[in-house]
Amino acid sequence: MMQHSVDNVAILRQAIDSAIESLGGPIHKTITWYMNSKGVFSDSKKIDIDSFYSNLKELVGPGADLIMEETWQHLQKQGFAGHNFEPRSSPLEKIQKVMKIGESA
Amino acid sequence: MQQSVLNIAKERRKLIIGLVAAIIIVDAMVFLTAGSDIEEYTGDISRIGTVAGAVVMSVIIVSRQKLSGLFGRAYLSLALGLALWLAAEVIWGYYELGLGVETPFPSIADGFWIASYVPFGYHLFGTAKFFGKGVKKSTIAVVCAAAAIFLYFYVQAIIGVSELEGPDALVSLAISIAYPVFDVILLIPAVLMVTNAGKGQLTSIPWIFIGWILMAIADSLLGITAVTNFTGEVFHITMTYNATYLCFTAGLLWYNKQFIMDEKKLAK
Repeated sequence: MMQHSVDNVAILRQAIDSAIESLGGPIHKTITWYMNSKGVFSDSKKIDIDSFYSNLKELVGPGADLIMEETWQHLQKQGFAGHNFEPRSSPLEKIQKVMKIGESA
Repeated sequence: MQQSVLNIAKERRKLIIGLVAAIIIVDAMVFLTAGSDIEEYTGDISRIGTVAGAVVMSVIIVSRQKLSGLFGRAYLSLALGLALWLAAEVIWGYYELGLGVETPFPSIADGFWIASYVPFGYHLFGTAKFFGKGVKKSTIAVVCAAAAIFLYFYVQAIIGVSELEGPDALVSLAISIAYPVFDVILLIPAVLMVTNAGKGQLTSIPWIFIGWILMAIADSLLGITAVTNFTGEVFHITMTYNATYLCFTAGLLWYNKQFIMDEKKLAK
């Protein structure tokens, strides 16, 4: 399932983009601009998901959790499912876990 | 970047001050002319003017944002709801200022007001998915219970004080009850979003939800006066409606500036 961590980063980035885009085009641009100015998306081979989430939380508060939930749903559609998660794991924790597994693969 | 965060905080402060100033100016005119010959003019014109301002802002947002995504659809709904309110206010004003008669109850205006609950409901419940993440189930339960209790006593009070007579009395009473029922349904997400407020540079003030709470207060006051055939001063109700419409306008201004960034700024 996980072939290469760089691929995973690209898939994660795509999932994040789709999640934010589902809110609307202009908001997608605004959030992307904010993340770029914070350097979150500066390295195309790497995404610090914790930094992304904390910056998102700082910008849109509770909306950050909706975006993470949507991101996780997109990742699931890409086949990032089937791991054993704690029943109460947040989408952020699930994403962190699958990305860590991807890095070590 | 720190600068842009500071700018957002500064912009928010400016908007709060502007909103408070606008409410004071508009409502002072209503208050100072209460009981005078021009009371109806200031009341009707101020409400039409303030809601028209919100309609203009919502149309600007829809034209800039288009209809894509959760917010695209939600702000189109908000624009439709506000347009229905404007139509209702204009009809109300036409009766009082154009025809020189008291607006009948129910009137065509009530049709527009009742119809507006559909798009407003879509907007409030739709955006609540975004603003309401993390609201505790216990908070939802408390707010729902409080809303149900309020509704029960309010409807009881409406039925108790109703002085409506004639063939339309039952329809009038049904409409009087429909308003608080719809208001309370939409008040639940509004109150929940306010309890979840204060987080996020862009989202810390849930303007539209605060506006809806003001709307429910104004409607509750108006409902009682409508069924009791109240003939005393109602300027405080007009003042609350003006504050509602101005709060909506402030929320739309905020959204237009902060959520839909200028292309020039995006290019920087």
